[in-house]
Amino acid sequence: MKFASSTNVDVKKNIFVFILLSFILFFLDRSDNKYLTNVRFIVNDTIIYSSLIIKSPFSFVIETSKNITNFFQKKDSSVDKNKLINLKNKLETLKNENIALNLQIENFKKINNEEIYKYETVQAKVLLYKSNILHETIIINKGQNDGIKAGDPIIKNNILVGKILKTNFNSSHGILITNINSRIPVRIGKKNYKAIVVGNPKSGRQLSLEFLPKEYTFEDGDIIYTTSIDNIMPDGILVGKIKLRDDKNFEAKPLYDFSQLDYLTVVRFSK
Amino acid sequence: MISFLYRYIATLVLLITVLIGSLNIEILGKQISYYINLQLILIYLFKISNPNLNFGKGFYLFLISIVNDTLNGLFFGTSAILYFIVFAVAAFQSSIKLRSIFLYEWISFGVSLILAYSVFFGLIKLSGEDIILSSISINFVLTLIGYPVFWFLITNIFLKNVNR
Repeated sequence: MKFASSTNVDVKKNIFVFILLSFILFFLDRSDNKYLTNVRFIVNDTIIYSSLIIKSPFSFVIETSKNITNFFQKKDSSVDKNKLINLKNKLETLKNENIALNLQIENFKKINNEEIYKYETVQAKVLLYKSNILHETIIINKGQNDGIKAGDPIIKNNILVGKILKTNFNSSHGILITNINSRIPVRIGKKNYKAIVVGNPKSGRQLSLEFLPKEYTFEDGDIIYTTSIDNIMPDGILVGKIKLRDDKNFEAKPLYDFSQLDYLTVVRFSK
Repeated sequence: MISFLYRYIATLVLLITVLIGSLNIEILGKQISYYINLQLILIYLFKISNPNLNFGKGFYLFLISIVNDTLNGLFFGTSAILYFIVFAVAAFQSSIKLRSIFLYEWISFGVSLILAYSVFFGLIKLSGEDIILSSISINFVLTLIGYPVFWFLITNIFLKNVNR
């Protein structure tokens, strides 16, 4: 490399120093060193909470513009009778789904012979949601100080949203079940087929089922729920639903609406 | 004030794009950062537009990369390696040119992206995580295609106003 001036010679030197430093930092962070972990927790917490303060004006502008858009959209929709009929139909469908889900929950209670979660739970607020080329992650406002550990399931309204990936002192990173790196052991339908749910790389809002038995038959609307194999997850948390396309082709769709990421519950499950 | 802005504007803009990346602005159900890597475009463009720019001898660039790593749940140093690869290519390109030729700069940006994304792919594999090749390809192509747009905005509007 040729650099023009003496300032650029310094820059050249610094670039190599920082690249070297970055590699060292990467391998140190990856090695999970005890002393460095505490430093990482403090740095992460500081950056997360500072970034929330710095970006608050931007968030305010975006939220306000969304509210204004929604206000005008609502005015339009009040005139549209077809939309109203569609919404009524949707409401009816949702009511029915609710009844079906309540029945499922009752069944789970019977299976477990107790309340669904015998584990302690922690309510958490989603501070940040990030979807990049690597994964969809969320950052919540509870961390190791609240007893949260990596691997703990994140739920909302009895539906699995994701699991904790990394913890800091007062915040945690979680990955969603639609993430390609998320692997959840599940049971499916009345026949209790066992499989692993993985985020579908082809579609961001679908799930893939791995390690299914060779001979399987699903019914439309079969429920996917967690199983406690190897104590990775608590048993019986709703994950998704099977939608049949034809005899052998199906879609596995998550039950949770990922546009509603606000307040979530973390189940303190990991030992 | 103008001199302060001129001195730190690149760092500030870069920091703001890292923070804005975590705002909930979605296109087809994904955030902007899924489609395009604004930081890499900006680092390259700022360095090409102003060869004397060094982001506080690289220190500010390093700090911004740590912020990005934290917000994205990456291991520390991952973003820094990418940023400095692109910065190094831009520094080399700006030092060998006599006058600005857009096409050569764009090709050299493409080369820096190939280098940066290859290293990123390797680092993610080292972390034991899976990566979707189609996602990384979309991001690469759109970042490369997005370069002329940002080049136009920065060289014709942004830097002209700052220099005024």
